[in-house]
Amino acid sequence: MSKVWALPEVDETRCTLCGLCVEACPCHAVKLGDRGPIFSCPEVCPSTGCAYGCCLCEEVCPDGAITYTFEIVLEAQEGIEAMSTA
Amino acid sequence: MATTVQKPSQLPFFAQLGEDDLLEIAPYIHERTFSPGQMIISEGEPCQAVYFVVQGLVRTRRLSLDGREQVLAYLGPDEPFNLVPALDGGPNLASVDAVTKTMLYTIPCQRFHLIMRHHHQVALAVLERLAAEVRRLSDMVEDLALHTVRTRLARFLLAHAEGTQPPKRWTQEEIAGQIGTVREMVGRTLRAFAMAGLIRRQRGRIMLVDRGRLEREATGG
Repeated sequence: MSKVWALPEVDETRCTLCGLCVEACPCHAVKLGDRGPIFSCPEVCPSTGCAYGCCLCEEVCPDGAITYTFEIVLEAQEGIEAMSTA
Repeated sequence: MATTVQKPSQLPFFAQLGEDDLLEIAPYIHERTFSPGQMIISEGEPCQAVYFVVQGLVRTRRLSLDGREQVLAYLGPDEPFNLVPALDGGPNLASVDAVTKTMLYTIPCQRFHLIMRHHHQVALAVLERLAAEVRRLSDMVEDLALHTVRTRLARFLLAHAEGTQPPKRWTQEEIAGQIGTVREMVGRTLRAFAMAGLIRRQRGRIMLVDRGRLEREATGG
């Protein structure tokens, strides 16, 4: 699971192409397409040290067009799964 | 589409009944399936039935006029809902929708009331279930009224990481509905937890990094 990218969902019917998500992303991982934001895949964000999860794009979106989903785990579980898939 | 269920003894409350009693009840139990996101019952509408989750996950919630919601519970297999209207004849207490593809068994409200009157074991089992529900809702009221969003969020994260709740993926909006706040507050508080080193958000996961400190947050300390 730790190898699977978890990109946010974009509701293109809500997106007004305001571009705030592009400005907010510290990884510069978002660009604006014709119908909404497009997310590329930085390995690790140089600004925050995380890979996909700061959620700034979701927070700044005034139209609720971007949604991240998360599962909630203890860090020990992440370590066990990483070992089992190594 | 409803089909008659073959094994009423599988339902909670009926495990103590004998074969003859189960045969008497069976014709009134129906099976229904729902797609993810499909509404099952609406708050305030007349009670049609008592429901039992057989497969899948449902969500019970109350809605305000301005669209805010408070999730009361996520219910999985073997859990019933809509018992209260069957008892008091009032309207549905909450709206319920299917989170995943869901199969339910249903018994019409009036028939369920009759079953309880004729079978004291069923009535006792229902009372025990409602007593547990009163405890749980009392804890929820205390949480919402007396604790901060930080405390409620810490408790929520711990409960779901430890597997004491049905597993699912969460949006910030859903977390807000669960802990009685708005999405923006959840986002802000998660960010504060991340900056304080209590959690890390990465690749579709919220990882609880410092469980000890989160547990202190969860007690309001």
